Amino acid sequence: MVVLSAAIIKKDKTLVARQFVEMTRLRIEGLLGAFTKLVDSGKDHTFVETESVRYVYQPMESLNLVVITNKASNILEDLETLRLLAKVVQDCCEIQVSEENVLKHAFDIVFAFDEVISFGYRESVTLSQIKTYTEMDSHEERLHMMVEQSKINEAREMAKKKQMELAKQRALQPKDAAGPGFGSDSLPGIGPSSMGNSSFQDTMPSMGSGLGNDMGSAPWSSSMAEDTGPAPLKPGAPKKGMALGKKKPADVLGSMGLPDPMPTEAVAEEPAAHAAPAYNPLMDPVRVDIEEKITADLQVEGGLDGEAICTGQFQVTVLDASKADLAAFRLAPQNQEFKYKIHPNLNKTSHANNVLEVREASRAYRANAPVPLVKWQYKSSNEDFLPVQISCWPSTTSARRSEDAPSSGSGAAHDGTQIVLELELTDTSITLEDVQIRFPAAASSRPQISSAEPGEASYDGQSEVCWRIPVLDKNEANGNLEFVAKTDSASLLPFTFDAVRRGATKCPMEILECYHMEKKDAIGFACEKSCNYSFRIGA
Amino acid sequence: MSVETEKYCTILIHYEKGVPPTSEELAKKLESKKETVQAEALEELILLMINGESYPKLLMTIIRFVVTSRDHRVKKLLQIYWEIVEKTKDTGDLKEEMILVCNALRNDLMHANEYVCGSTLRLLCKMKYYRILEPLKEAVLRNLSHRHSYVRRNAVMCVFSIVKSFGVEVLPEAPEDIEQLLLVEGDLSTKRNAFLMLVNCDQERAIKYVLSLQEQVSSMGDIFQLAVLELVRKVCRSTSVNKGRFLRIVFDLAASSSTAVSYECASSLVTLSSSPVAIHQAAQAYVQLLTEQSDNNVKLIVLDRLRDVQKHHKQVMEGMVMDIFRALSCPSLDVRKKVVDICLGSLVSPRNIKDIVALLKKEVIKTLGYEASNTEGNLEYRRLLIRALHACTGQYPDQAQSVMFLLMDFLTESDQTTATEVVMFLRELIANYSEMRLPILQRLAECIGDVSQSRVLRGCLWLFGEYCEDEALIESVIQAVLTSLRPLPLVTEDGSQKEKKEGAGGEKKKEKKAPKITTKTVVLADGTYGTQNVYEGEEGEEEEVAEEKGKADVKKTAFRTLLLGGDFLLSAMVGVSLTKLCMKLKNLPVALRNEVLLVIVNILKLVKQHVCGGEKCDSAVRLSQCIRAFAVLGKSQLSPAQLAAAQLVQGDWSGSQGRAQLAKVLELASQNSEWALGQEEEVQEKSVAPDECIVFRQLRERKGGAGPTGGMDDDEDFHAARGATIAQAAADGALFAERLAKVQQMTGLADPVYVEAFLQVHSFDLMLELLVVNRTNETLQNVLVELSTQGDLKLVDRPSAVTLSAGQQMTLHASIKVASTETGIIFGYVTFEKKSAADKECSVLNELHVDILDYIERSWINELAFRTMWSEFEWENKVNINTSITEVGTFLEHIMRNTNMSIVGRSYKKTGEKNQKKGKLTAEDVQDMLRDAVGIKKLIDTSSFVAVNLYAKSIFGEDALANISIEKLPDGKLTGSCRIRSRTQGIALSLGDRITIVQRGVQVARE
Repeated sequence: MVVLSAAIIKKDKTLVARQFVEMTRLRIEGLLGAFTKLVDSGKDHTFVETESVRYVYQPMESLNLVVITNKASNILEDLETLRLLAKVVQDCCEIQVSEENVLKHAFDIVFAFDEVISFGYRESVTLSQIKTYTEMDSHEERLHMMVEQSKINEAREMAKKKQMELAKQRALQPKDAAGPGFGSDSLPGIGPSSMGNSSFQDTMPSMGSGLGNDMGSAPWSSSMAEDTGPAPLKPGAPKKGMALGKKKPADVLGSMGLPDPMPTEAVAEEPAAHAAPAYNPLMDPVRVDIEEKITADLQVEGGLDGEAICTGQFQVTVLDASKADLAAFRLAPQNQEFKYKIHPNLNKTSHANNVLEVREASRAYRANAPVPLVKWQYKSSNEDFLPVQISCWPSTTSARRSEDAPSSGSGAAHDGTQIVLELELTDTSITLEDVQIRFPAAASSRPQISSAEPGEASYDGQSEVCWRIPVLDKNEANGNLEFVAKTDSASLLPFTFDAVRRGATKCPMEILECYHMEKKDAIGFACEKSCNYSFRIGA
Repeated sequence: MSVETEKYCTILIHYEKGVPPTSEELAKKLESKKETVQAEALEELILLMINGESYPKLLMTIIRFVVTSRDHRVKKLLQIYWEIVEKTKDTGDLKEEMILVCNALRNDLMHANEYVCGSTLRLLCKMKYYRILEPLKEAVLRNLSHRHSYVRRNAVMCVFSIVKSFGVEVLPEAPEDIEQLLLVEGDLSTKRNAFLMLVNCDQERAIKYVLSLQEQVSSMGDIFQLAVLELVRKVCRSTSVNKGRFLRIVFDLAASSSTAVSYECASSLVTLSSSPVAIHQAAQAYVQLLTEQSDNNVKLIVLDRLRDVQKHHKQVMEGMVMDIFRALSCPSLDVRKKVVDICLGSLVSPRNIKDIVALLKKEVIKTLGYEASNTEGNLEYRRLLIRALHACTGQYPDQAQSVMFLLMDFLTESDQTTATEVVMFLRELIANYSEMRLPILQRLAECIGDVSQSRVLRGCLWLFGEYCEDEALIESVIQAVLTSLRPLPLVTEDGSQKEKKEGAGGEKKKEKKAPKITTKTVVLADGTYGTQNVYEGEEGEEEEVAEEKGKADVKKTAFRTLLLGGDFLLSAMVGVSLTKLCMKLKNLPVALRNEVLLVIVNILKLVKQHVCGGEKCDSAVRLSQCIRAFAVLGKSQLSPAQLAAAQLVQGDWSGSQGRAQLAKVLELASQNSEWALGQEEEVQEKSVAPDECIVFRQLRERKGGAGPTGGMDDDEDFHAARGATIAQAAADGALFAERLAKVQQMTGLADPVYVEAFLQVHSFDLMLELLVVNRTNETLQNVLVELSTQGDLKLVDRPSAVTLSAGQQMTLHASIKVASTETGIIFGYVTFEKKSAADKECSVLNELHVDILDYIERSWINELAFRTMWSEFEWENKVNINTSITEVGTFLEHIMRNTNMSIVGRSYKKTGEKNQKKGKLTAEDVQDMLRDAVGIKKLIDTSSFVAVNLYAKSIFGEDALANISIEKLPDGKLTGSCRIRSRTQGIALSLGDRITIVQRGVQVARE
């Protein structure tokens, strides 16, 4: 039951082949070369045996996907593998399995093949799992990077503060701090540390990640005291610059910063956020939906008109009442800027301790009935609260074209409006999906879209111009839309902006643990977070 | 260490590289800040490296600029780069840069992203350099307890691979750790991997673990169960301490819901145990898979397995025949064929014959159904069934009664093969079982008018003529034949219409006339020669006139139409049969006799009038013989000479010569029948000569190929698949004698550099071993053997340049890939520099011919398949025979021995094959074959004209067909031609060349 190699073959050439056991190039090329001679499309079975190997194949359009195994191999297992590989190839090639597409996605195919077979043995994986594996989208890494980033920021700020302090000091005691004294004291201090930093640059990030890793893998119970964050304070307080200097090698100035509880808190949150590994969401007895909606009115030129309102709710659906009728949730400490309201059935006192549990056992959850447990609201007039900046530039076009000759006399001045819209993702740490911007436009205005980048814009033929961007993130943070409509600018306003952010909410809602209120044993749960943005611009 | 020297190929991607970019160009892109550019450049670099370019300078660039990237795609690509990059210097030492790579890998092992961790661990599995792995050991072990199963799973594999390559000493705590992990692990893949690791590295622990599981095993995931079975097989082969307990586990697992597991269980049981209970269980599992899986691949492979079981455990299988037959419901012809093959081979016994025949009958009737008749392959299936019934009833005649009437319905079938098959069957029944003659012949007489095939008609008529004894029967038969020919006379009737028809027939005839001369050979080439000989028995001279004409599409009986159309063979047969019958019946009514006579005369006239007929035509001669016989019967006046002749004929016909001939033919047929074969084989396999060595598996030389036990274990099979066995055998010196014989001298002994070469054919590639000797007293530098190839050969590895001190010798290797069966030539020269001389010196090497014979293996095929291929194949090469050999037999033997081809339709003996290298024919083999081929042998002895069909197969699975037609001229010389057909040009040409050379070669040798 050993797969020697999986390959995609076109009549006379091997497009992609991945070997799972040690084989010389000569041998594998020989085997694959022989296959093209042996394969016979007229047969009603799809395997070929030679003296030493067996080929099991599956035609995919004009190509053949073939798995080479030893002869004693288990055919049922091999067919299973082949089926999975075929799915993978189909998936990698997106549209059509052609030579061109296979070569274009050759590496993706190889990566995916690696997930299906290891050492020649089939792994028990599904297509969706393979996708997750190859996408490598790790929540942990993101947290890790955020922590790192925030540390850097903190350090920078601290440095600035320190600098100002020093400057102030210098201003106060100009005589004391005369050139030589300061120079001789501080410069050598900075010198070696910066030297050391650069030489450590390679190894240090790894230390950092190693640290994070250790913390992560440690059982959660040991770092329960999340709200204090005293650990770094102890060593940090007395010898400030030295301790941090090692922590922040990238930023020389950062070496002067003070330790701060924030980063540790973030570190502490890291395991919490991942306490629920999503092995199989279907099997989890509890489903949590954290939904948020942020609405705001914006001015045409950008800028907030009034207040942005953020409302959210924490909704629980118990799927398996036998296991999770009395589910309780331990949350990460909540951001007190938000106003919270909890369901009357819940125990208020425990909520104060960041635990959501029902007031009394009789008020257990019913199966499959979604119950909102917590709602929150937040209002802000700060523009930074919004993740995007939208500015719209309507202008009248007076271009008179010869075709318009008969009506030119009257319509010349207000022939139409050109809208230039600029969209910028100001908060690059987040990813917006399904971004839609809609302009009302009557059919008579015959809007014509001249450019839309990224995504695509279209006119539905009746009432609106819609610009859709599937994903807006740091890789593509800016966008432009340009179109012309034969109407005045007022009738194209107000327009709307809708977007979804998945996997996170504005209000930090993290479930650290879900357990049974009475039995105290942990309950598996699936948590889905989403944040809907919907703005009205130019109302 | 050998692990480190051999280079393995892990990935192949097709890439049209065009002009490869320079190192600098790539470096610039790699240094880019943009991740997409970096990824692109890296991709390009990898593609180039896979396809043979090397960029050693870029290693440092990558370490400096790419390793620091955080982009996931770049990371993954980088892993592939590490996989394929050259990690050592020319001396075999690790490059210094690798330490930096190590560092990068360590960082990745501790990366926050679990997928980066996991895939890095997987990469490490492929690293075979201990110096790289050593500093990473700790990190790898730490990952064993990572929170994500994805990381753990790969970490286990990584530990496994390290221990496997470098021994457990490098990670002494690994088995312990893994065992701990196994106990607590929840992820299936991880668990399986961990278990596999123990199976391979610390069997004791693995056994302990499995035994501690006991019943739980059956509730584990399928891939884990498969691993358990692997362990069981491994352990039970070496010791039998726990065999009982393990077999229990296997029995438990057999009930698993996963089909893969039950398949594996069954094969484990078959290999581990020979107790009837176990075998029964295994066979049952196979049969279940066979009937429940809809995939043809599964069915076919399971059938192969069942066949193996059947060979060794006939008794167990007997009870399952009916279950196996259920697989006939699968529409695939291949599957059906295999099913019938297995069941009829040796499993038919008096106990189940009744059921089998009933089932086959039912299946036959099914093929007549409306929906069945529209499906593809229905006809072949029916033919198969009829043949099967034939075989069954051949062994157990008491069943024949029940099927023969059903089968006789097929006589009227428009499909010639089916109808012929049936008539052959009937012939056999009639010949062997006298009690059945009467009913069969009666029934035949009833349906003779509906038969539409000339060949079938001829068969029936002959049977009438030969076996009708009962007077009433004879009369009714004569009546039936006449009825089907009425209205008489045959020619004059419906003139205008028929003339047209005849005209059309005549035209057709003319068209056919041209090829008729060649028909002689074609018919023979087809192998119909033998069969017809059978038919006509004593009418040998008429064979040339074969061919049935004018497919029936008339209101009149097909019989009549055929005769009118000028089917000479049939005409003669009608005449002869009727005459014979009349002769047997003493008190034949005169009216009837006259009518018969009228018919014969009528036919004779037809034949004479026919475009191709005439006075001297064979058929006409035959018919006039008949008339003469009648005349004698009627006591008419004849000249003495004519009388004598007529009496001779009469005597001949009334004697039993015909029957005796038939008996011989039948005997031959049963020998060659496909299902009788299986039985013989089996008997041979079971008997072991008393002086044969007993092989102890434990004592056997490792990797010595499959011993007579035939039971290869997994590892060997796996190694064979990897292609490692042959290399090992070569290293063991097993091929020493063979090597010595095949060494070829490439330069002269007096040349400064002496080169001799040994060309070894591994299945798809050639390994050229060159022995290079410095014959001078000086040191030669840069001794380089430059090779080129002609034909479908590709040089993969070129030998590298070496420096040879005075008198030193060295062995170099070059590997060559063969793309198809074709003759190829390797040629080249050797260059070297002397210290004193400024210029390079050069000597040209002898040409090295790659012998096509090395790719051609003997193979067996039946006549039908041969004929189909013969008509399908596009390439034909005709070689005229021009040889000094004067004996047909010697010539044939010579050709066969030198082309590895064997006679079609005859089985070759399997004995002795095991001691020889597979696929080569020896002189004894050829002689055996010729001796077995009774028909051919007889031909050679009696006739001046012989035609034989030969067949062989290349190792690439290409078929090579040949037909040799030899005529012995009165002056003792042989003439004729040899046609070779194949699907590809290469084989036809090369084989033709080979034959040309071979026949000439003999001339040279003899002169």
